[in-house]
Amino acid sequence: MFLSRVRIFAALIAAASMTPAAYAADGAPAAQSEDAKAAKAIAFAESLIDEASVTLSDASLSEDERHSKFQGFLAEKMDLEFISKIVLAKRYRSEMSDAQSARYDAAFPGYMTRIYANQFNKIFGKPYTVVGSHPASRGDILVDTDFETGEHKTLNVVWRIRDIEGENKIVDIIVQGGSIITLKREEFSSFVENNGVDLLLEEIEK
Amino acid sequence: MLQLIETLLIRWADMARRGGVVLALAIIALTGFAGYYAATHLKVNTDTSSMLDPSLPFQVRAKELRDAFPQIKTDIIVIARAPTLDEADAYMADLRAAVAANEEAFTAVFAPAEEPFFAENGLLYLDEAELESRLTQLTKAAGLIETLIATPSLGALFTTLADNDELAEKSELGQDTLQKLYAALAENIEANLAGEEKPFSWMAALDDELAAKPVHTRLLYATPVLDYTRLQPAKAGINVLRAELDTLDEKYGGRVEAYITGDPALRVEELEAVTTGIGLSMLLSLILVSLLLLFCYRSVSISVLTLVGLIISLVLTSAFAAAFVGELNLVSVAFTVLLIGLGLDFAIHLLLHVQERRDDGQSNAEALKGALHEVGPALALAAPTTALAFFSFVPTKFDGIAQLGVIAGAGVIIAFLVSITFLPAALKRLPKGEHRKGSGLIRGMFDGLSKVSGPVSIATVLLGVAALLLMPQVRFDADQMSLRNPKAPSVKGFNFLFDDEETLPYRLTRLVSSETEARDTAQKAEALATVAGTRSLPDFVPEDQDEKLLLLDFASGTLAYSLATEPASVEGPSNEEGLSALRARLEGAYETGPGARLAAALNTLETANDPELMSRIQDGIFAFWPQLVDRLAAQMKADIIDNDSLPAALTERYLSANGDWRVDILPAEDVRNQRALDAFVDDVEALFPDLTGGAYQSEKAGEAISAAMLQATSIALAVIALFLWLLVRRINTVLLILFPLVLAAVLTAATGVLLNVPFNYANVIVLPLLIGIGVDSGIHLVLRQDQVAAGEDVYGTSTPRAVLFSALTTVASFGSLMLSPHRGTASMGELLSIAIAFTLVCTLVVLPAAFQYRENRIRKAATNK
Repeated sequence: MFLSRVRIFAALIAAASMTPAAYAADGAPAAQSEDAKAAKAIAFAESLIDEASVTLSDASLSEDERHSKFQGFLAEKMDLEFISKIVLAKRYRSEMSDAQSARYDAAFPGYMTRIYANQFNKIFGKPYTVVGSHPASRGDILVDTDFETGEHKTLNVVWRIRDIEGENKIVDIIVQGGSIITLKREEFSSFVENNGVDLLLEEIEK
Repeated sequence: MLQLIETLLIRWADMARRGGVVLALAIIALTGFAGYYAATHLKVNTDTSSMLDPSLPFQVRAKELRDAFPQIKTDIIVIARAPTLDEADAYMADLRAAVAANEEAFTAVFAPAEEPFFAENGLLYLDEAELESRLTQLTKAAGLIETLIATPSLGALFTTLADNDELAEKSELGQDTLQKLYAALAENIEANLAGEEKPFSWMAALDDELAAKPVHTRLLYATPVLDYTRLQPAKAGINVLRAELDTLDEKYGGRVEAYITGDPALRVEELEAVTTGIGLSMLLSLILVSLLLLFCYRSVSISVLTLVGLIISLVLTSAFAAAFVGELNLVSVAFTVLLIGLGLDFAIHLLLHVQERRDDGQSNAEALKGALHEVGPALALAAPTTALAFFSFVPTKFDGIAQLGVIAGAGVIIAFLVSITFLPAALKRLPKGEHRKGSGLIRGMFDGLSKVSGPVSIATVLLGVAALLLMPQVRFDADQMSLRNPKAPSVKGFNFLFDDEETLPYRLTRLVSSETEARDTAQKAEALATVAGTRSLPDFVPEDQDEKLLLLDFASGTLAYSLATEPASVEGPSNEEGLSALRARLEGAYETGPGARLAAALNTLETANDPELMSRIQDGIFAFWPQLVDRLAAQMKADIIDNDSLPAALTERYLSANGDWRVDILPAEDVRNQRALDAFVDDVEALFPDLTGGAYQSEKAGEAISAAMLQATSIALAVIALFLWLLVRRINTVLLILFPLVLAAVLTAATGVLLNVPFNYANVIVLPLLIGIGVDSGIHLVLRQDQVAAGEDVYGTSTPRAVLFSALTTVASFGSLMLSPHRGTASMGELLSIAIAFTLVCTLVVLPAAFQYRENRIRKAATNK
């Protein structure tokens, strides 16, 4: 990407000024609460990245143990129940039997954290910068980070963070502009369309 | 009785003859006043729906629909067709803005695809799977979108693609999207290299379905300010739109085809076609008729006298129409041309006989008396029988032909009166003996005919019997559009409406009183095999909105950054650098496929080293880029939709001010095919008897008009038969007169089947008219045959010559209607010409053969005695 970090930050500032009406209704106090939410989200993202980096670099654990611990860590930080509902389209979920639903609910968290773990274990531990934050719909906050992956190369990762009963959780991760939820949903829909729900369940149970 | 008629006619004509020039001038002066009155009072109404009795149940429901949703009749529709969706959308957005700004000419505008409501919420109308696919594409393109907003240049585009191609190879993200872009770019660059200016379609580049479509259509509905002081109240609005389309045509380099259609536009162009057609026909028929008259009389003065009599008849009939009918319709507007043919018959018969006697040295008084002795009773019978044939249209439910019946029936009587009044009055001024002797051609022709009339008659009768086999295939085409000029822009535009289920004009409609009833109607109708779907207001509230909005939320998160980028804020690499980078990347990565194709195109472009070409390509690629970005940004604002949040311009098309809910039922097949129409209407009507809509109107109007045609024909036949019998009191004579007409009618109908000329709103008058016109020739021949000496045939008299030229002038006038660009009028000319031609054959050949046969039988019976 050709946008410098400075310009992204400027764009984010401009975007952040487009506050949804519901949040700006009360004038100054609302703006402060928005800033507070953003600050809390940024802190959450930083803490998540730092903790994940520590977990993945723990020399006292074997690679499999580090991987497994990292997955557990992600499962805590992400709202996997919500993600599982979005990733498999309603038109398929509504036709699943109780047994199939149970299998899906049981297998999905492990599957998804494995995906994320595979994707991020080479990234966490690398230097990163929190570029800024931006409000999204449903009260979510998007926290924008850049990871340095090589000489003059960065990988942009945006964390979509939702406040669920006072606790922040990740509901989506956007890598280089691609929403993993959106992409995974398309993948699941295509798979089920061609192979059926049972084969999908077998895949995610692997 | 015939003797009495003859006596009265002779006295009347003689009185007129004595009136001389004074009477003739008085008649001409009266005609002058009548002409002024007609010119200032006679109007034309092209609305075919008003040609049928408004009390018919389907007409009542059609009116209820129009009253509830007046846009059906008043809206002008503009259809834009472009090779890319980007161009179609941009064009329509410009047009919408222009129309919305012109409050003087338009009260409302509705362009579904460009309405802010649909721009923002359009994605919610996709089904879940389609929405997923669309959002995935957008998600994958987010990075590219962000870069190109900041740097809308070829350099940025090519460099980003090169980088993304490398990334895509490693992570398999976005490969599909990249390949689509490569294919679209390659096509665009190749076209530009070949000298073609081709805007780039981003929408097609990112969507396979869109790319596959060769043409993209967008519609706009404009409600014009109606000026009821004008004959065409919407014409001003149409003219404003035409001017606007001319301006846009220039802006878009002629790449977008636009058509103005809808009821107001169709009627404006139909009126233009009808009046142009009638004008041309009148001119041609006058010329042809004049030539025929010269050939018939071989005298300029008698020809001129006949024409003057014709003009007087026409003008007086027009004044009658203005006074007693007020406005002409698509059928009755042809009365002028019909009268040119019919109005001459009396004059030709009378003046030919007068001329013959004057040439023998008789005085005007003697010639007139003698002529009226020979042809007077026939003329007096012919006028009312022809008029009766026209008046037989009046009791039918088809007001269109009822009007024609009144006007033409009166016209025939007027022509007859003019013949026995004005012509005798003007006789004094006619020079004597100035006509040339004929070559004997006509006489020779009749001599030849009399030799072969037997075999030809038998052949004709056999043909008629064979023609009966085709009668079940005779059909009525109730599609109003088939009457119109197919080359008219409004008709072309109208036909494009059939390409898309959403815009199908021939649908069934049901008005109900609640949303529940609307849903119930939709559900029941959709269960039928002949129904493709339904449309009512609840359909515009998308399903599964929660799920879809959730998807959109997550997609908008991805795109939020991209779309918030400041436009053209970053310089980026030069076009040459970008081109080189992408070419190198593609050449290394692809040997075949879109990547390789694009590499080849870039190579050629690089070799060309043409900055102007590069600049043109850049302009083309980014021509619609800002519009796409705006559209994407709008789509991310989708919100929950319910009945209350729908735009008024949409709601008022499906829910009337009085609370009527409209349910449109769409056909599964093309109902321009009669069988498909019948099946569709029958199926749905079995469920819902209270239907209306274009398809229903077409079906029921066809039934009503077919019934009217049969009714008029039967009445004409019965009334004329009765009238003839009352006067001649010989059933054999009545049968002799009517038989050739029935034969000609069957042959005409069969020819219509073979030539694929169905009956329609305009030419439906042919059969009853054939009886009314054809009966004249039969009357003349039969009565004349009774007068000739036994052993002689009627071919030896002037009557067949008069019959021939009467028929020829009729064919000339009707035939000229074929020139009309209005298909309804042209088909009237076709069928009428065919009908008169068959009548001529049946009358001039079959009838004399029948006389001969009768003569032989009488002689044989006498010999045997």
